[in-house]
Amino acid sequence: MPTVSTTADPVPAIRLVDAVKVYGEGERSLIALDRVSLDIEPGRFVSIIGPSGCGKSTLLRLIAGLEDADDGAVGVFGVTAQDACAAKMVGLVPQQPALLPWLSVERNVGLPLRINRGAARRRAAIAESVLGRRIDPPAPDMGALLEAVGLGDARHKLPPQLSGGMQQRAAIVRAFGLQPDVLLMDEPFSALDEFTRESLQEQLLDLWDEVKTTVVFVTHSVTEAVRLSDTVVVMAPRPGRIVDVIDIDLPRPRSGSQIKTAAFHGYEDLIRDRLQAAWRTPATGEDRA
Amino acid sequence: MTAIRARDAVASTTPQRSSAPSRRRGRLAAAAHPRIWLPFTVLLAVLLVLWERTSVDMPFLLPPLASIGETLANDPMYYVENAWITLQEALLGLLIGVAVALLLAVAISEVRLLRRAIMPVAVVLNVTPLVAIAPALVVAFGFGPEPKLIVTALIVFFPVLINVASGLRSVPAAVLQFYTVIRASRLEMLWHVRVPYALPYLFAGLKIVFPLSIVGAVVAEMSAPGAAEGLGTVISLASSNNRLAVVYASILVLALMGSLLLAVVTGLERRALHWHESAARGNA
Ligand SMILES: Nc1ncnc2c1ncn2[C@@H]1O[C@H](COP(=O)(O)OP(=O)(O)OP(=O)(O)O)[C@@H](O)[C@H]1O
Ligand SMILES: [Mg+2]
Repeated sequence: MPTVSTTADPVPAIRLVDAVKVYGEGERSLIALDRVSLDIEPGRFVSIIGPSGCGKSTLLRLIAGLEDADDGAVGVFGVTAQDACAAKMVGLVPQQPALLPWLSVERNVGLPLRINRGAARRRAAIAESVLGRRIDPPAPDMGALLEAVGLGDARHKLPPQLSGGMQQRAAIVRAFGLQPDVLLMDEPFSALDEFTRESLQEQLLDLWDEVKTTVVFVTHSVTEAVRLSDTVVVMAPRPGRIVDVIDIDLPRPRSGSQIKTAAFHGYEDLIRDRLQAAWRTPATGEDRA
Repeated sequence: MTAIRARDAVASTTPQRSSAPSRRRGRLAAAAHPRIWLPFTVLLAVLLVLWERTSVDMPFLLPPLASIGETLANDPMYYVENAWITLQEALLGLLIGVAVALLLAVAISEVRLLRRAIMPVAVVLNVTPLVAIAPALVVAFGFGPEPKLIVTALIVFFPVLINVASGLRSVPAAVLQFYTVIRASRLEMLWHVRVPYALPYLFAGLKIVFPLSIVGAVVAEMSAPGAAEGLGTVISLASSNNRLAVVYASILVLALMGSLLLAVVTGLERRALHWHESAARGNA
């Protein structure tokens, strides 16, 4: 299933330039994001990790066009986040599955395809003007995607009849089915038990292998970040900022046995160190570009 | 991996929720069990005995049960015709009140300015004893159907407005976010997301106002006696003539009508909200 981002492009999939987000006003204002700059190449799997309140969700909301930056710029494939969303180039997997309880699994994953139909035209126009070529992604085979995550038998069930893990699988299929150029995931597995979490990580990687899209994945788990990602972005709070960008040079596919290798542990330790350092040292005025 | 598969396999083989007909059969079978109907039947019997004894001692407090049955049996069409008139007023008033409430609920949930304008008016309307408006409406509109429809519609309006307005806003934040990110239009969001989320709230409101609509119609009829028909008129004429049996026969018919309306909403709710947890729990 080809998408816009299958081949390498000079245009970054996501570009944040000195993005600032401030909540509240005056004395009581809180700098959720302080001049955050980040480029993400198309097709990369990027995790964002950091202590609670460091602005991870805020960062995702800016990319998802749910909020606008107070200063700086947020671009998705060369257009604004707003334009990218209007063209349905961005997909979201929230922490809660957020399925509609009255629709079967099949209808839940199918509904987004029928919404905002004007997006296809806008998306083609963006692809043509920004990337200089036309795209025509074939309609996704939702049945096959459901099958791939083991929901083939559950397609006619209602969400409340499914376990939490199965619901989150459906939410992931729903997002992948949009064949988004950018897929945003905000702690999608944090409410799941460890077993389910690991199987979902594996299925997520399988899907991502098939539908090569750019993923930004927020997590609190160092192991999860290392296992899934090409790049791990470490953030720190007060004010919310990026303190480190670490590339994970581990071979793919990353099976369960990968987790036990020394190289894997090396990355885990590195990220833990950086997290702790970020936690201890408050922001200095120095340039972090 | 295999452990997870097995776990999910267990989940996916749990029995499907039973189909509607078999569920209904299940409900009927359950209702036929003495444990279900016996307590109510016993209580009813006790109350009827108490009633009968009271009516013998104090005939001006309660009429003998037999006399109620007698008046009903002697002229059933009298009650049916008047009940039909009251029911028509109630249903038409209900239709108007609910329709206006639905439109306004959508309007105030979509436009904040309208919300600020309309809600205070609606709240004041709600705390006003609408029953007291009825005589004024009779002065204004005469003995025709208008005062009845207006009073009924007004009484019905507020519970539906409040319920549906909160229902339309009851969509979980994550759901709103998902559909906002793919830029669902306002209409798409309303139709595919907000309205279905509001349905349980709508039915909660309808369960209140369906029986209330009869109250509205009867009160309005009582405010315009003489010229009009309907069970409310029957009651006020009969009580001024000390015909207690007729009063209570009418009240009995009204109670049956109210129960019938409640049964209708509950049935509609079961149909529309088969997915809704509280409805599912109610079936158990
Ligand atoms: N709508 C809002 N209004 C005011 N403050 C907000 C708002 N949203 C977020 N914040 C604040 O901005 C900061 C960053 O919040 P954000 O949700 O992005 O953190 P996070 O890194 O996602 O945390 P967590 O790991 O707990 O999810 C927090 O201090 C939070 O209190
Ligand atoms: Mg968060």
